[in-house]
Formats: sequence, C-alpha cells, structure tokens
Amino acid sequence: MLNGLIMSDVTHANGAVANEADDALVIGNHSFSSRILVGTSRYPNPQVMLDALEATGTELVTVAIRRVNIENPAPESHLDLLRRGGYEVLPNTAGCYTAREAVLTARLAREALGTDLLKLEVIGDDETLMPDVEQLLDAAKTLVDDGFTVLAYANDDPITCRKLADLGCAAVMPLGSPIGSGMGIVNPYNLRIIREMIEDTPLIVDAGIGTASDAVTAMELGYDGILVNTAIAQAQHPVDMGRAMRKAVEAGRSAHRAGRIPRRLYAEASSSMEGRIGT
Amino acid sequence: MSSSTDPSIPVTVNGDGRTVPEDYPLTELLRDLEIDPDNEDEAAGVAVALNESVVRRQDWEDVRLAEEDSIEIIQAQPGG
Repeated sequence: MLNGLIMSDVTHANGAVANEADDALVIGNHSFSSRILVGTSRYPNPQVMLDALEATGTELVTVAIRRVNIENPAPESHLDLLRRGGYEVLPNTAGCYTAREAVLTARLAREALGTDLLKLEVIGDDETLMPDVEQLLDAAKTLVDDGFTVLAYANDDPITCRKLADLGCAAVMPLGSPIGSGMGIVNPYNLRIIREMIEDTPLIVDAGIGTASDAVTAMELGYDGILVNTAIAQAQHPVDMGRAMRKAVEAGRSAHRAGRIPRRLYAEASSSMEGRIGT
Repeated sequence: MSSSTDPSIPVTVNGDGRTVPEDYPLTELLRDLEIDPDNEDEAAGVAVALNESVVRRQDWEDVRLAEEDSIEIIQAQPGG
C-alpha cells in the first residue's frame, strides 16, 4: 500500500513535469516556452532593460516602428541590442490612428525586421489610447490577408474580440485597463466571457497590468499569456518586478491548469468532524 | 554623381521638405542620411517607403526620386 502510494506520487510528479514542458504558447507558426511578452520602452537605461527582460524569461519583445532620426541618429541600434540578447521581436503599430497608417507601418516593419509577427494597434485618441474598433477590424482583415501573423490589441469587448478571431488573427489581446495605467484587470467578467467565447485562438491580456497579482489573475482566467511593459519598466526595481512577473505568470498558469475549487458562500470544514472531542 | 547645375526638385523625407537633384538615386539620399545601403549591418533594421509603398531592399538601387515624392525611412525603436 505504501509502495503503491509512493509510486502513484512519482508517476503524478513525472506527469506534471511532462505537461509543463509541453505547455508551449503557440501563435501562428511560432512557438514560445515563455508566456510573457514584454515591451522595451521606458526603462531607466538599456542595461536595466536587458536585465529586466532576462528576469522575465521572455522570448518575444515588442518594438515600435518610428522614423529614423535624421538629425540625431541613435548611438546603438535598439534592434541590435535586443537581437544580441537572443530575443525575437514583435513590431507594433503604436501611434497609428487609421487602418491605412497601420497597414503601411506593418509592411515597413516586416521589411525592416524580416518577421511576419505584428502587434496590431489602432487607437482612437491619445487620452485613452483605446482602440478604434472600426479601423482595427479593417486593418486586421487587410493584414491577415497579406500573410501577417496578427496579434490584435483590442478593447475588453467580447464581440470585437470574436470578430478579430474570426478574421484570422493569430492572437487576440484585450486590454485589462488603459495602456500604462497600471489599473490591473478592471473587468474580469468580460475577460472571462471572451475566454469562453474564443476557445481556439490564443488570448493575451495586453495593457493595464500593474503588478504581479494582475498577471496571476489574467492567467487564472485561462488567458494564454500577458503583455507587459510599464509595470516592469517603471517599477522602482525593474529587474525584481520582471522576476515577479515571471513567477506570477507561472503560478497563474499552474493554478488554471490545476483547476480551482468552486466558490462557496458558507464555510466547509477541512477537518473531519468524526471523532472530535466533546458532544 | 550629380553636378550643382542639375535642377533641384522638392521631396519630403520623414515629413520634412528638402530639395534633391532631379532623378536623384534613393541610395544617394540614404548615404546623405548616414545610412550606408551597401553595409548590411547598417541597413539591417531599416525600411523605406516611397509614396506609401514599401520599397524592397533589393530594389533600393533602382529608385530615382521624382518631384513631390514622399519618402519614409524607419527603424525599430523602444516600444510596448
């Protein structure tokens, strides 16, 4: 009996390890062992950025596409820095207000970086940085048809997210709260509905993650990953926050796969009442 | 490549107006901006659009600029 229990435990442990190793994040034709995508902006300096990226364990990092500064060229290419660190880059269309701008930016990004990966972002105004849904859907259709692996930044609106998935986006990335706000996941109910509606397309919580517990929540909701930038870059200690985010994503993922207990309004004793002292 | 007697034409480069000689090669413009199109390391990570169409790197040397052309030259920068 004892042997049986031990054997059973060992088998279970091995099974769990095998499952963890097989638990890749697959986006289009790309596969990643890490489930955290990290932005490369707003760090105190490039070395802190590199150290923080390493601490997160990320394999995929975002970059913006911007005009070469003709007057004052950068001393070292941002791309060189990231590629030297072994990271795959995910160009974004941040700052684009129309589908036309986003499509041109995407095509330039593909030519410059030699990747079909694209974080599609089409914003409606610069106060909220909320997506312009009409322009977003228009750009997504064009870019999917053009062969891009589109990761679409979206509102936490189930209908928009479903439309993006139906258009063929390789991942849909609803916001937790506005970009850079650090407000966390303000509408977990919507995110849950989105997850229930979209089973076959990877979902990533993009924007609004403020600290590790937000990352845990996203993963416990069954999301496939998170994209985070400001919460790490602007933390008092970015490298420590990077490490915390890595652990949070792993913990949240494990908890999701483990399956949480249902919530109950009233208590349920853990210790059996049988054989207790007293009457 | 071009003498000072060539007529100049107005073009827009990254949103700013400038003048270049007529039929000026795109590769010369890139060299003026300290991007060596023949240096793969330097040109890697840079992309060019002419009038809102991407010019593939292998086609850079075939492009001559015309009046009112709009050229965008981009690279990857920090972003989230």
